[in-house]
Amino acid sequence: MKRALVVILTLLFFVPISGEGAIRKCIICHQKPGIKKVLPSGAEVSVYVDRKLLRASSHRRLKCQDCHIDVTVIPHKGIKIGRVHCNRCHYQGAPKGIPQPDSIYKKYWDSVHGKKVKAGDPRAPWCQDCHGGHGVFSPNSPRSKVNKRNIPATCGRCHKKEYQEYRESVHGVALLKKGIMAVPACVDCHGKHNVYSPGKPYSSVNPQKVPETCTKCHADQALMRRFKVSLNPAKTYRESFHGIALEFGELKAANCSSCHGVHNIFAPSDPRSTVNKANLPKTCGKCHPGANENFAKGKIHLDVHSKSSGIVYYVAKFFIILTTGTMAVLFIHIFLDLYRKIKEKREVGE
Amino acid sequence: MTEPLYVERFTLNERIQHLILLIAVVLLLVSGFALKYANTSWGRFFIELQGGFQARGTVHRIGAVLLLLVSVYHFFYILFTRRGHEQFLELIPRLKDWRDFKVSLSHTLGATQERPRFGRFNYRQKLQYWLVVGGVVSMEVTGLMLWFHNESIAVLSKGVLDFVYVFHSYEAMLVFTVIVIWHLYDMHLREHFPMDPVWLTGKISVERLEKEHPLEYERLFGGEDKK
Repeated sequence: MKRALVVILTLLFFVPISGEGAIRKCIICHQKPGIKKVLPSGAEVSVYVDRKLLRASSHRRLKCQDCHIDVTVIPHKGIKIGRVHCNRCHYQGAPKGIPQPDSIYKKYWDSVHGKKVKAGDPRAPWCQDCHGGHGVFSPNSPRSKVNKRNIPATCGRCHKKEYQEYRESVHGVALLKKGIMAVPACVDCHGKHNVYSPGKPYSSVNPQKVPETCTKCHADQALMRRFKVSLNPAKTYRESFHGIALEFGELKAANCSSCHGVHNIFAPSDPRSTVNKANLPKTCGKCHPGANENFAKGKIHLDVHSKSSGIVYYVAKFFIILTTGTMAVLFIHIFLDLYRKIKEKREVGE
Repeated sequence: MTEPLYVERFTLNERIQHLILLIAVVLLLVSGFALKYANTSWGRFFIELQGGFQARGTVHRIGAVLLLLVSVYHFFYILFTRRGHEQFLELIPRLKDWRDFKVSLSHTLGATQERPRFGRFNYRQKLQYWLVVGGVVSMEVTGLMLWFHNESIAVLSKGVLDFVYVFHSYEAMLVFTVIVIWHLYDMHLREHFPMDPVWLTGKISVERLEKEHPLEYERLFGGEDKK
């Protein structure tokens, strides 16, 4: 039924595409919200074009065929129409004013997305899947799909579970509901074009890289003061047993997200937080068998040189004084021995 | 009457105890400080030297088992063998040790010509023994708690284990200062540079015994043949 509709509609506009009239002609069919094409598999894909969006976009002056180069005739039944390749225009040496993202292509083809595309995965994203097809805007524009505020939804088209979790999280609420731009969107942790699977050692979300990635913000004094978040964890983690073990390649050792969560990060005071006192036994129990409520009694990010650590601070101070004192007595002892020996030698000499 | 040239100061059994203690302490200090100072280049060097982070932990635990074995053995040695028990009684601090210390100090400062006359163990040796006992026991107790941290946190809470962790770490430094530096200096470097062979041979010359432990000398050979 619908296939027939498409055929009829396209038959109505028999004229080969040419020159200025191109958009006007294509849009006659493609502006109808119900327009679809049927894939050989039988699946239907919308080929609707939002004319207003296209007219507002960065590509408003282009003709359809500038991108859709394989659409040579109307109707285009029976000819193979592929996806649009952005590098037809966006390449190094292209006329001035056209972004020339050759270094970005390199990163992209190296990324998990690019590799999947190369391997022929039809679900893997091309440029237009994230940047928008007809609605392509400069990333600074709030209408851009890759504008910071829109990134979670853009990634979330495929990564649905992660988007759902992120939206609720402390970072997600701040960005999406409160409009705070300083919090991380997906790309701030995962990378933009250089997105890698967490299993890759060079991925910014590889267990060993997580502390570095989190501390890009969480060790920033000005930023953390603004949100009243302590800087202490960033410092103490690296000195902790977990931190040292991770640094030496023990990937089992807890990194930031092992305890705080990945997309589902909340303030510790939030009962949904995995590091809320009530949830700590369960969180610690992921690695420490038999963890009970006693695991939540005590400071987690312990800084022995901070007075807020209570008794531990004084124990450390006591030992520093005692050890220094012992060393001092030892040196006095050695000094007195020498003094005595020299004196005795002199007496013998006389 | 011919005097023997040497007397046995430490039996073979005691020397082996000392040697195992030495090996255990060296293993523990090297692997322990490598972790304590893991953020320094030499700390990293020692961790790699021991074969990485996991291996470092294994080395530390091997040292711990050795130390536990030798200390439990020592406990039974002083409790159930005649020789061990006698030695232990000699090590108990007495009022004389305090007086010896005062005399020794004024002698060193040149206030008196009088030298303290020591028995089998002088006050410094006794002090070192008891510091080792205290250090070993406290390090073993806290170390075992850290080894079985899942159980000890479950029973005692994270806050208590933090205290234990800090104690273990800082006490190690104190033990290092007292045992390694002070003991090495006092027993080996000071009078018998570079080292006093008694800890290996177990033998001490009668001449030295008379000079360093006159009271023991008198007990063994009688006080009358002083010249």
